[in-house]
Amino acid sequence: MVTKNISKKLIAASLAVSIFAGSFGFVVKASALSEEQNGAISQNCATTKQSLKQLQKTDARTRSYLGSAYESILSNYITPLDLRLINTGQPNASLTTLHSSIIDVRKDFVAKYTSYSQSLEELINIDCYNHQEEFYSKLVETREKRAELSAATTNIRNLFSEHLTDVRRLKNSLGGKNAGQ
Amino acid sequence: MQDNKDVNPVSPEEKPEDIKGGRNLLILGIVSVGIAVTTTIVSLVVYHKSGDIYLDRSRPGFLPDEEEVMQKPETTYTFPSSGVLTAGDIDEYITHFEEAVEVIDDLPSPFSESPLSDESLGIPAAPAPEE
Repeated sequence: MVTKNISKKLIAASLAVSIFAGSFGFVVKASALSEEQNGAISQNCATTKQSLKQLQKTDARTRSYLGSAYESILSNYITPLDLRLINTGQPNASLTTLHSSIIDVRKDFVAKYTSYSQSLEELINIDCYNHQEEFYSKLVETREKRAELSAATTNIRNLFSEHLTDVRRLKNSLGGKNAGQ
Repeated sequence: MQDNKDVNPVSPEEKPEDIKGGRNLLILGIVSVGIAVTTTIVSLVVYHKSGDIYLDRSRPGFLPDEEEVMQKPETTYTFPSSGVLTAGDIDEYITHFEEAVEVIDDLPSPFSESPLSDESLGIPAAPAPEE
C-alpha cells in the first residue's frame, strides 16, 4: 500500500517536472526571436529567398573553381613529386604525410560543401513568411556549416604552404648533397 | 454433346495463339515501363541522398557562364614523375607551384560568413536582455 502511494507520488512529481520543463522550453523557444525580427524576416521573405538563391549559384561556382584548383595541384604537382622521390629512392616521410593530409582535407571539403548545400537548399525551401522561427533556426545551422566549409578551405591552403616549406627544405638538402659531391 | 465452337467463341480469323501473344506483349510493355520508372526513381534518390546533386553543375540554373569557362584556371605544367631530382628541378617546381596556389588566393575569403549574416539578410539585431 505504502509502496503504491510512493510510486504514485513519484509518477505525479515526474509528470509535473516534465510539464514544467516542457513549458519552460516552449517559452525559451518562443522568445528566441523578437517581434521586430519576426516582422523583418516575414517582410523581407521574397528578397531574402532571392539573395539566397543567388548565393547558391555563387557558391556552386566557387566550389567548382576551388575544386579544379585543388585537383590540379594534387595531380600535377604533389603526386608526381612524391612519385619521383620514391622512384629515385629518396622518399620523404614528411611530404608523404602531407600528401595524405591534403587528400583527406580535400575529401572533407567536398563532404562539408555537400552538407552546407543541403542545408542551404532546405533553408530556401522554408516558408519564411509564416515560419520565421524555423527559418531562423535553419539559418543559424547553415551559418555554422558555412563556417566549417570556410575553415576547410583555410586548412587546405595552410597545408599547401606547409608543403611548400617542406619542398624548400628538400631543395636545401639536395643543394647540400650536390655541393658535397 | 456440346460443340467446342460454342464454348470458346473465337472468330475464324483470330487464332487463340494470336490473342495470347498480344496479351503477353502488353504485359511485357507494362513491366518494361514499370522497371524503367523504378530504376529512374532509385537513381534519382541515390543522386540526391549521396549529395552528388550539389556537386553537379550541369543541372538547370547552375550551368557555368560563358565567361566563367574562359576564366577557368589553366594548367599546362605537370611536374615529371621520373628522372633524377636536382635542386634546379625543385626550383622549377616551386615557381610553378606558387603560380598554381595564386589561383586559389585570387578568391578572397571563399565562403565568408557575411552573405548569411543578419545584416545582409535585413534581420535586425536581437534586443539586449533586460537586467
